[in-house]
Amino acid sequence: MNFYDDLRAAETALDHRLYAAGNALREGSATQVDATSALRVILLHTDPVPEEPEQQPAPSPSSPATSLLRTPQRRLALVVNLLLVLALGVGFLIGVQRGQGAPAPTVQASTAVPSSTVIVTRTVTSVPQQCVETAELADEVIAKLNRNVRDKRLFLALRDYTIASQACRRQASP
Amino acid sequence: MGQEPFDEFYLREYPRVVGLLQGLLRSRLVAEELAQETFLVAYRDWARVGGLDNPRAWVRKVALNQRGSFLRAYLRQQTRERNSVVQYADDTIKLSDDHAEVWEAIRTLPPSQAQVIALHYYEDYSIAQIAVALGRAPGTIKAQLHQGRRKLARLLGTGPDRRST
Repeated sequence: MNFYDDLRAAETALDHRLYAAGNALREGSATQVDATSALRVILLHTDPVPEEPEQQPAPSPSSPATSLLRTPQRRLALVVNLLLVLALGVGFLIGVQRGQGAPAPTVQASTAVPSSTVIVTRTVTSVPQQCVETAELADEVIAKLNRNVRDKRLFLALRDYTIASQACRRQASP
Repeated sequence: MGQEPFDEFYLREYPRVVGLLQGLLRSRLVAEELAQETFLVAYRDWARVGGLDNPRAWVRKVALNQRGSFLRAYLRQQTRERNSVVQYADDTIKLSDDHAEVWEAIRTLPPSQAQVIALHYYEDYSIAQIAVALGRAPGTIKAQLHQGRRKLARLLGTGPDRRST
């Protein structure tokens, strides 16, 4: 009988202690967590979407080319890469022309450059505002890392960046 | 039927969810990050989530089950704590030593038991409510609560001299 009394008393003591720890944490979180500024981050960088935004469409294995061009960022990257290749080609042709003194390839190269420039301009203007903000926030994170700021300021900047980048991704996806 | 505005819901529930996650993860920053992700999901789908019978339970369920990110954070945190020499004093909600010791003991439990203990003692959830929140059978919750309590009794000691004030 004594054993069961001891056991019950021990269980009650444990219960008391656990409930007290739970209450203390609950009160601590209520007074120490700043919900207002965290809410501002969500409201600033995100718009509510009624459909399922978390369920991103699975990449279709049948069309790798379309998946490459799915977002404006990827399209931009692709155009930039193409431009680089083109510029290299033009540079190479000019070099060859200077070396050989042959004028013919110049005509082809000069017609190609302006047309691709038009494509770049169009792509840049279609970048959503959220993505511009994301880039700015990324700069801020990098600046903090460069200054070796690794405390809560970095965390908050990273959090803002994450929220903004999610908003950018959602805005940019068709 | 009127739906509660998201900002009111957020301001009331966000600190509590952060507290719950910090109890389980120790790091307040990780807890805030996970909580923020959870509320972001709720915000994007607030037309539906806000109309649920119990959005509070939904938020806790998502916070504790976010695509395995909770589990990864939990395990990462435990490893970091084991290997860490320096503790980040600012990275926690301040508690008295006795209460902090209890939460440290809870964090040594397997994640499933720690979740059940936290929901029971922090959120005052009944076994049935925990079963709904975690999507497990009530019998499983009961067993996990029992096992968790047994381990905590061993870790913390239950003598009257160790009781909290």
